[in-house]
Amino acid sequence: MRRILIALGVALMAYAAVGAVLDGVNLIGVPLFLAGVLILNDGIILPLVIGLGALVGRVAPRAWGGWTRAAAVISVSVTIVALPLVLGFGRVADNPSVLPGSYGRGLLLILALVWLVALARGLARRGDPARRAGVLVGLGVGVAVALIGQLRGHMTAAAAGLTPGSAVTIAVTIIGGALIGSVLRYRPGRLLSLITTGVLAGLLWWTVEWLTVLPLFAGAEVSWSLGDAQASFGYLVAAMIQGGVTAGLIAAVGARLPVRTVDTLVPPEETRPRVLIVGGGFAGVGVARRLQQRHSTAAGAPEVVLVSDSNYQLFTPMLTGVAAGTLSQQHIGAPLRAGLRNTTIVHATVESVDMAERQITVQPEAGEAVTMGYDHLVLAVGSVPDYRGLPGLEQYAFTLKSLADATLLREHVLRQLELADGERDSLRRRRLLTVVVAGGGFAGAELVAELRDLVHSVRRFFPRLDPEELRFILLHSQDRILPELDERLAAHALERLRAKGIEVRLNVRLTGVDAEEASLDDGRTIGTGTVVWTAGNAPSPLVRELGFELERGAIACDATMQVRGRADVWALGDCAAVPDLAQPGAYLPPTAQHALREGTAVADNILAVLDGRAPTPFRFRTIALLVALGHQDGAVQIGRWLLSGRLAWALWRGVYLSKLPGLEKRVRVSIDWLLDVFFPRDVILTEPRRGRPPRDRMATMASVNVGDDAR
Amino acid sequence: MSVFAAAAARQGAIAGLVGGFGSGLPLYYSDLLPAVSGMRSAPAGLVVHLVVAVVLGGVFGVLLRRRGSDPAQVVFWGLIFGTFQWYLEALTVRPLLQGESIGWGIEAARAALPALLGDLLYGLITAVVFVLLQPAPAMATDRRGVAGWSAVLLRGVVSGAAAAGLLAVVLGDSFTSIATGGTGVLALGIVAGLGYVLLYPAGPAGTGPAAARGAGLGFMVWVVLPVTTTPLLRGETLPWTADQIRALFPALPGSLLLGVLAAVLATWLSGLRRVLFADPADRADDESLAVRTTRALVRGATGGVAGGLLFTVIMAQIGYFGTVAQLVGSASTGVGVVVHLLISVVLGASYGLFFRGQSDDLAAGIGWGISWGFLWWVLGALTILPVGLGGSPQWTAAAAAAAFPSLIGHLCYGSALGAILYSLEANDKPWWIRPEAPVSVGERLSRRRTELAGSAPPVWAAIALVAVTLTVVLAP
Ligand SMILES: Cc1cc2nc3c(=O)[nH]c(=O)nc-3n(C[C@H](O)[C@H](O)[C@H](O)COP(=O)(O)OP(=O)(O)OC[C@H]3O[C@@H](n4cnc5c(N)ncnc54)[C@H](O)[C@@H]3O)c2cc1C
Repeated sequence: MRRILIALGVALMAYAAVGAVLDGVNLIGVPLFLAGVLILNDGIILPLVIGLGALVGRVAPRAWGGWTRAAAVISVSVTIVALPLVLGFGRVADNPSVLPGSYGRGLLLILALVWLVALARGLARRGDPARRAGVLVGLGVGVAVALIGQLRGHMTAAAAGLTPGSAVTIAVTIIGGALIGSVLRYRPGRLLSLITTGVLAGLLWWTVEWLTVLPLFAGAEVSWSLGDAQASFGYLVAAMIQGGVTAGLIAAVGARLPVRTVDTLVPPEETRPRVLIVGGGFAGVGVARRLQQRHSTAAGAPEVVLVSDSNYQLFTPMLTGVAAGTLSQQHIGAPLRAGLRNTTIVHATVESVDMAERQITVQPEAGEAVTMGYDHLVLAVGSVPDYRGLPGLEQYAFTLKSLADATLLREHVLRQLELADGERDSLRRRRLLTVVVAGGGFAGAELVAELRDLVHSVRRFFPRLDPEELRFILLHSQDRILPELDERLAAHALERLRAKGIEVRLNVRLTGVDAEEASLDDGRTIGTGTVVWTAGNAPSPLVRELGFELERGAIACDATMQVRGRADVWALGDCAAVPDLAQPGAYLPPTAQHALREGTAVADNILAVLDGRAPTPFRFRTIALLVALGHQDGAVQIGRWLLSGRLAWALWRGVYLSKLPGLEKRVRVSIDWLLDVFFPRDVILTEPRRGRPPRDRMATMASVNVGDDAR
Repeated sequence: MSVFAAAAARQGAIAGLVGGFGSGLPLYYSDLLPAVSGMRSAPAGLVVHLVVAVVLGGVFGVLLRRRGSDPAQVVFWGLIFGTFQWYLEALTVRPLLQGESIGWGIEAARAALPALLGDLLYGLITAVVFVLLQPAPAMATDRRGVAGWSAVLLRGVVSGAAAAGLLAVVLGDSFTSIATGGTGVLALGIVAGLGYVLLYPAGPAGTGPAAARGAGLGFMVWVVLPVTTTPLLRGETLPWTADQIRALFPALPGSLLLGVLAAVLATWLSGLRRVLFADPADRADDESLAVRTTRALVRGATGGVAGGLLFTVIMAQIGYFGTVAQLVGSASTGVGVVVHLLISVVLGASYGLFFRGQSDDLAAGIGWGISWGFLWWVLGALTILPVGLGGSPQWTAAAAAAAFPSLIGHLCYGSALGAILYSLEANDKPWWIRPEAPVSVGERLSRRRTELAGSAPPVWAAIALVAVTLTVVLAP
């Protein structure tokens, strides 16, 4: 298919080229023109339209249907494209336009048609009964007004120049009636207001009808001129009376319709379908946020409940920043309650799911377990570190999955410096000053670079330490780090890390850890008190307990993200194995980028199911891969576009700052970053004397130290 | 009819009688009654006028029987009542009764202009008297003591005087000439300020609604003072014919701006207290200042750009871009477009800021938007633009007529802006569906609701109607 189209295009171009040569057109001007068109189209208009689409998708009112959104995007893009023509840019006297007629009029006509279609669609949509009644009443009054207008011709005389033929005038008048009706809504006790508003709507419609639309169709320029207004003054009075009458009738009808007062605008809880989301990470919040913005046509806004055992959404990409002491820990968490105001937040852990009864059991931090029913269940419980059964890791290795992990790690590294500062035994000191990170993926590479920066930025407070003794080691089991990145970029990143003095060991696996050393599968050991494990994650253990069909340990689901075999249970994010439609047999990677979009898609699919439509399979290609490599260094891959160094780092910061949920946190993180430029990082240890309370390593270290002092 | 309604009709009729005398006697002595009432002899005309006044007053009383306790509502309804009356009675029913065809043509409207002013004055007087006739408890629902009322009145005087002073300093002669010099405008300002606090003693509201009400008030001040009372005090006849009103037109934009500024200052004065000193416990339910301000600005700016783009094509056709380009000393259309979009953003963002959370349905959004658009027509097209181009404010009827395309543009732009902002706000958890809101907030919200159900619609309608009608009818 594609080939045929390409061939067709090439043939057309060849035809045009031959024609151009034969007709002897300007051979310099035309290519120039074509190049200009290309640049204009691909460089300006295309991005503009895409950007607009995104903007409209984001800010457009949720009551707007797809048609209205499309109309908005189309009209703005068309306006922007046509505006230079309308304004007559580049029009010179000796090169008048070849097109007949006025560009402005043409553009207005097109816009009018686009909106007419959108409006017709909007009015035809089933909506709430009060609005429909309003539109119908307005339509009726519009018909009456159009008829009276046709029967009594005497007012027309003055406005003769403004009217196109009676068919168009009648049509426009009737549409206007419906529009007036559509903005008026009866509320008990507001009759006078309604009538007044109706008069106002009539006045506004007069400006639209008599000063804009009718002249447009009559072939005149729209001028909003006083002359037109004076000529159609009678119609102003008529339109205002029409508005008032429409309002009065709407009130009469509305008083008979079932009352929708302020309190019943939100349907009572029981009748609304309940969507229960488990997990307050990227995926879960993505679903909830989307459900807050859209609602189903059939069922209205569903009741959304989010159960999570953390009461904030953790922004994991900045977790290394907390571990490295550049960011304050609260600053990278977005409180669920602040961000999701239409969602009921339940701070509890999910214990079990009963799909037959459609209910789940949750355990709050204290008190009895509670069961909750659902109509749709969304599982987004994320992942936990997976030590692959390696000995000692559970006890001795650090991880980086939560704020507590990050804080603990930061304190531990700083504590090692404190200990090393007083340590005379060089072997022990080296052990204290060696940091090993296992796993050369994004988290590992970012972390090892950041920890190096942390240590170096506070080194001057420990004058007795020898910089030569500081060691940072990154272990990776494959022959290149950052396997998701383009090979060249990954090689470059490796070079950068090595240039910073980080030892990167490839093709080597961690086989175990104890209090003093890490052992590797090549038989060697590294003396270290700090091992961080970022080499493996597995879906949350809850997933296994629930008894779903699993795929690589994660919940197996369809491309619509429905759990296999169930229409009302959805799984997404790190805990789900979502098939990648672009590569059969593969699954989407566990990243925040995907989790967020999956969230939006699941929400849309749930609404589709509530409306009785079929859910759509999820497709998404990674947009960009960004990795920060410590101080003002990074690597970025956007499609085939590779970038490294300061610019990449700046891009990383810009992108993630914009993704951070909530204005407040964005400001706070920016301030943290700014302060980091001017002040050294903090070396305060908040946990008194013990790094990881339940473990005995700290005790042995402390005794070593005391022994030293006694000596 | 219930006893209650009958009592209201009686009060309305009395108020109507007073209103009839108030508007009828000046007409009588100015020899305008025959023209206005259609009777050949003046005494007969007065009688007819009074009879109509009493009947309509009764209607007014019945219509507003549940709203008597809220002076602002009644007065603004009075204003709009007078306007409607002119359209329905003077332009429609009376010509029909006299066997002519209905007078919806521009010439007939121009000839009936004295009746418009008469009707407006009648509506206002009737409304005020109706409020005064209400039993005392209804008026005294708020428990202010003498000290409280003095503070309120002081706020009115201060803000009115300050508004007059500010405008006089900024605009100079163009402004002071609307009321014979400095003391004159000071008096106008104080009347406007007092009028505002008497109508809205309850303190802080949104700046935007305050500005819109201020515009309505400014219009009433214009009708009552420069157009009616001042000439009468000078012993002249009423200058109510089209030609005479045209000469008095320049005082209208000035009065409007004065009313707006006085209202805004009065609102800010009482709002300041709240911003600076309110206990966090009382505002616990508010969104943080940074968040709500940013959100309002961004939403408003979005609406502003969309609204601005919506009308670019028409603006281009009516040659508006050339004019705005001159603001920055350029003649190019491209520069004009950029300036236009910048203005749209500023108007939109300020609308977002000032009218945040004030609309509870689409119509309300459009209403506030129209008011904002109109204000910027007076402020922008008639005042700032000419001053920016190196001239003085263009407040004459001829200038307003010349700026008519711009008026329509502003009204359309404003309504688009208001509609968009309303829709954007409706996305979020909007204030009007918060039955669970705590009492302190609930009180504020319910005040807002009452306004939307009551005094806001006549303000919107009066502003738009008067602006369009006067500009069209008075055009030379
Ligand atoms: C250090 C680090 C850096 C990263 N950097 C990036 C990056 O730069 N870009 C990127 O795209 N991705 C990055 N990721 C990956 C990204 O964080 C994950 O893909 C993403 O968090 C997955 O989202 P999720 O919603 O599926 O799970 P999570 O974000 O892990 O959320 C799971 C949620 O479920 C809750 N929960 C779990 N069990 C229960 C239960 N039983 N009951 C109730 N609630 C429960 C948890 O409290 C949590 O709120 C990074 C990850 C890490 C660890």
